Amino acid sequence: MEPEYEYKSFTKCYTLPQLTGSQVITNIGIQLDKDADFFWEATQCQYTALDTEILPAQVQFVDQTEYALSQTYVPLCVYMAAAQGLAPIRLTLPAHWFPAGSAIIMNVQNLSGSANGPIQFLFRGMKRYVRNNQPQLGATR
Amino acid sequence: MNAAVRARFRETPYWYIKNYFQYYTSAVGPTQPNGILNDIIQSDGDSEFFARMAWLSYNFQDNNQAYFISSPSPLQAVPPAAQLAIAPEKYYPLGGGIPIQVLVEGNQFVGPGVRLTYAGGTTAYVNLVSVGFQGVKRWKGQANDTPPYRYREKEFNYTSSFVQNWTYLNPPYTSFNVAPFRTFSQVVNDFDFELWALEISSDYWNQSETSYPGYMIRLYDANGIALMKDFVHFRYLSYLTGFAGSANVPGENLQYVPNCFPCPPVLYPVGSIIKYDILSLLDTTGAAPGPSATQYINFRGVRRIPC
Repeated sequence: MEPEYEYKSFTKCYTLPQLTGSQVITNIGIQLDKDADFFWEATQCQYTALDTEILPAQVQFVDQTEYALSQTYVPLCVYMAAAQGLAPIRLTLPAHWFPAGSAIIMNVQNLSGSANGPIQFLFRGMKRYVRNNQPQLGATR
Repeated sequence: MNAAVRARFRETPYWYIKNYFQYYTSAVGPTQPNGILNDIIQSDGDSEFFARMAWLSYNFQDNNQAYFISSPSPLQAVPPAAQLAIAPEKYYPLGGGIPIQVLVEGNQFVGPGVRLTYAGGTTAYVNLVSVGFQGVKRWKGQANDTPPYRYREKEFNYTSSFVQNWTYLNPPYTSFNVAPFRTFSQVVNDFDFELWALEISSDYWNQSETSYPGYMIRLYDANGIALMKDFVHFRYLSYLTGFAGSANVPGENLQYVPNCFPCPPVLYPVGSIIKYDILSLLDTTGAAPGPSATQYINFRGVRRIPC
């Protein structure tokens, strides 16, 4: 029998430390919780300090099956445009599934010769819980 | 398109656009007579066309010569005033051209576009105004992009880049020798790919709409057929919303609403290429392009993973 699911909104936050000039970091693991599967539906990112310029950097995301969501690095501005809330949030279409306890893998490259960051990423989506089949309160035998 | 119509037709995204390039110098100014220029965007003659978005600064007529966008005075030449969704869509039959009107003031075309300046002893100017429709071509017959296998979709991005290091005019600028467009391509590998959107970085790195003229694109489908009648400025195509203002702050002063192109999505089978032409609009006085003059176009969409 198919289990019954319950979906709850969830946002995974991750702050990328400051990048040095032209730095490349690969296989950054953003650990997801073990209590439920996570469906990644949207991404926002911005500097932790507001009103600073867009970082000339690029990123690549990879899932637990080593499926990369892009062939190469994607300009970070793709995700940053919505940071101040005026532009639409960039959606992950269709929502990308991550099993409980897995990780979003991120590769990042600083295109600038100078230090930049830190950058905060918000991975927005839903957690999928298996519904608990406990008797309802007040239920009779 | 409802299910009954979908069974008989298929739609492909298309831009009918006409670009007006005016060339003049500081010695001899623009000479276009003031008033309203009645013009027509010629049909390709291969299909019906349904217009769903208009870029303009003046009136538009349908194929019955009836005005459906009318203004006693010109609309603002920049979005959002110059970018209008058309609902319900406007129908242009097979072979029917699209009548348009273009306002001319101060002997120059008025509308969405850019002005390029090439300083010198005699300064050369190029005034570009684009008038166009975004919509779909409708073809008889079943859609031919349904694969013979079951699949599920997974997000995927191809980021293509090119170095924009050439100006629209070649020197000597006063001879108005236009530099040819350049062609680039991106190979689609491993799986069939549906292109859902273009995300273009160019307004976000060290430049703003007021100082960076940008470039124009002509995109092709997997069969090498252009998805637009003429070049279209990237600000009319990119899902990223235009420029980021003078301070280059994301989300600030965003003027261009998010564009939805291509709509419906375009299928690129595995092994095909996403081919596009670039017409640079750089001049000699505007802001330099972004880091290392590299421009990024993110082809965003989904892969069809067999299951």
